[in-house]
Amino acid sequence: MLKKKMSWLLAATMVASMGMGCVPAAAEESTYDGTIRWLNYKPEIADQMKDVMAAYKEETGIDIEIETAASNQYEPTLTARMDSSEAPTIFVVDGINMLNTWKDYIMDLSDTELYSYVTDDRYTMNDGNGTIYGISYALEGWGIIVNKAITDAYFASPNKTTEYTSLDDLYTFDALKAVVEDMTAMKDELGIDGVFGSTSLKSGDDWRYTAHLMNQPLYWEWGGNDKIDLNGSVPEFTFEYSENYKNIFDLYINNSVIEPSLVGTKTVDDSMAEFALGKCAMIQNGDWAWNTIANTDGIAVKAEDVCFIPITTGVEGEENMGLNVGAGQYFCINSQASEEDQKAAEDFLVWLISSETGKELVSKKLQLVTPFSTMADAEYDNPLFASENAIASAGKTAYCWAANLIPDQTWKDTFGADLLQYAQGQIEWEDVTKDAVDTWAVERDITNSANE
Amino acid sequence: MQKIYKKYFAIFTLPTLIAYIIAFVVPFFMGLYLSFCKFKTIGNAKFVGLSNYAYVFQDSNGFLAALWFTVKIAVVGVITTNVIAFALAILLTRGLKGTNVFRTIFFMPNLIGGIILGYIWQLLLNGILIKLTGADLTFSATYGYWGIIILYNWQKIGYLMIIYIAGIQSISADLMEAAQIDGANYWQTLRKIIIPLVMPSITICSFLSLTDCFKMYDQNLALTGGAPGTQTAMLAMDICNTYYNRIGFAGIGQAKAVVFTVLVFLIAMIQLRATKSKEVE
Repeated sequence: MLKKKMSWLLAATMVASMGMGCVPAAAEESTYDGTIRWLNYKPEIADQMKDVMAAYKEETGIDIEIETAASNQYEPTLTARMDSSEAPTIFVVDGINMLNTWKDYIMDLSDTELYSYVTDDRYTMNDGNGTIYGISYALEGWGIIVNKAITDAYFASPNKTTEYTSLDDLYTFDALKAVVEDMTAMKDELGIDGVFGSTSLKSGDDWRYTAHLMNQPLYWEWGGNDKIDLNGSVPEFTFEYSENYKNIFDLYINNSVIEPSLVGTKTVDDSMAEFALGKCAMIQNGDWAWNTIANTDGIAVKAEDVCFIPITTGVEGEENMGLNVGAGQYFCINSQASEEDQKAAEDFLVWLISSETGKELVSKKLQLVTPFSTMADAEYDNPLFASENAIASAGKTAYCWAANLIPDQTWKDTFGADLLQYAQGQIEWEDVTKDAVDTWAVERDITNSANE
Repeated sequence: MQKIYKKYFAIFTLPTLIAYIIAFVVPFFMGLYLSFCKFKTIGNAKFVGLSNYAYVFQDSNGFLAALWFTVKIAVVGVITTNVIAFALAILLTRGLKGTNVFRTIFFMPNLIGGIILGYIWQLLLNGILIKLTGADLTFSATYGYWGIIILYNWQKIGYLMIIYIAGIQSISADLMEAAQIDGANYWQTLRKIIIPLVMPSITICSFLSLTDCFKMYDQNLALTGGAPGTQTAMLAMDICNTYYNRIGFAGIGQAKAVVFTVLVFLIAMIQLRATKSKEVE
């Protein structure tokens, strides 16, 4: 009796597992019954992505699954998902290194409707011969975010000792340094704990300094926007502008809400919270930070007081420069997915950037600045976008995203650890510089030879 | 009854065996193969021979440093957890008031995940360190080292204690009584009767704590994250970093993982043999 039941069960299991192996052929042309899978890169909009999923399902009835990778874990997550049966149809590459790694999985977008809406090829990843690997969906700018209410109080104070009178004067490092140090001296009067929010150098939270702030020295060393090939291999690096990096880094850690020795305990979120609660006047971060700031409990800064000033490091000619702006993340469609899945994914992206609902979601919920012509009339509530536009229209040149050419995570981790030890007073700046250059040489070889 | 077991042996073991093959044997051999390959996803691996292994043993800052740090943690960690757990087990089998309450309390940390424990202890230790020295856990590898030891002890002692208590309770009361009548004092009883008779528990506990130390990842990640630099990164963390932090290094990470598996296996075998030989019937 038992035997009979057992064999029946086994047979049933076998049949069931056979059924799972084969994908049923599409019954009808018009309806897509699969699931679009998007592996999202940006943890700060993970919640908003749920609204996108719900809205698309409601309008079209098509299932879409948006999964968000944890901070700094995108590539590991992507690697794991690509190997599974639920591989993403839409995924993101963040630069030339990642593009080279994933080329086998990237579909050429040049013949798609999506690409026809792109206003400028600068915002795509391409090979220069018409192949479009990815399209940026997030033009991002970063610099120093300022709480104008506090700086205005400083500029209006009779006790200040500098001659500067507005944020427009802070386009050179000397001016910035003078004002910041004067503000530190007056921090009780201004009601702040420090001028800058915590320099977050906890491991995993040091990217504002190992990747973003490095953009300044890399940009100047490699000769600026015209000379840097963002789609090329990793260039050599001598840290020619090491002293300039030190200038701004010292300013950050010595005029902060915390002691320099404690920067290893702080995260980016700590720093954003300090800014949102009005405990500091400035933080280095990008326009994406607005979401975090605006959603902080007990937020004390007003949207109209939030604006950018550029990061300055004491290089000649920097007074004409603006923010760091770049297309950091690019949509790609999985070339190894079925044609049906690819089409569905493209239809979804077109819907997202051109339908009324989609545009509203992109500008209001996801808060992404995109290079699509369909999005030209979209309205944003992020005050940092307005500030970016104001700086660009004042004729300031934007720094390109040179930091995308940093060889790999190992370099960033090593540099971050050295910055931390420098801030703690354990090593000298020369050691940081030397280590950065030496590690670069090693990692550059590894990355360039892996990408050959 | 025996006959039935023999007859249906295959049917009873089959589900477990299948699960074991799918979830362990197959991935293990795939992993073994991949350690000889250059690959990004396992679908497009390219065979490269022994070069991955050659790199593993050259990389003195990575694998070998992590191995040395792990050995240091394991030596101290195994001794402290076992000695303290054994001492607690002795205390809590002497019929003190509230024994069960204490047992429960000591066991509780074991129910909390390593990541959460790591963050909690990071806050606690940072608070103390900043007060005393003005610096935090990331300041020195020594801080991180003792932090991991403290965390590991706190987490594991309760679990090992339960095993020891079971061992001690299974000692027949006759033996203890006989020893008492013969005039043995407490230390003599402990050395000549209790320890030899709980040797099976010591085998299990030292095996568990030793392999645990070598495989430790989440506590390490949450507490120190390897800081300063990678000086407090243990083997598992070094493997993970190798795999993901450099381009084209997945094969080398995989080779490290294979070396790691062989190493843990060998150490566990030697330890089992050594403690087992001391067990008495």
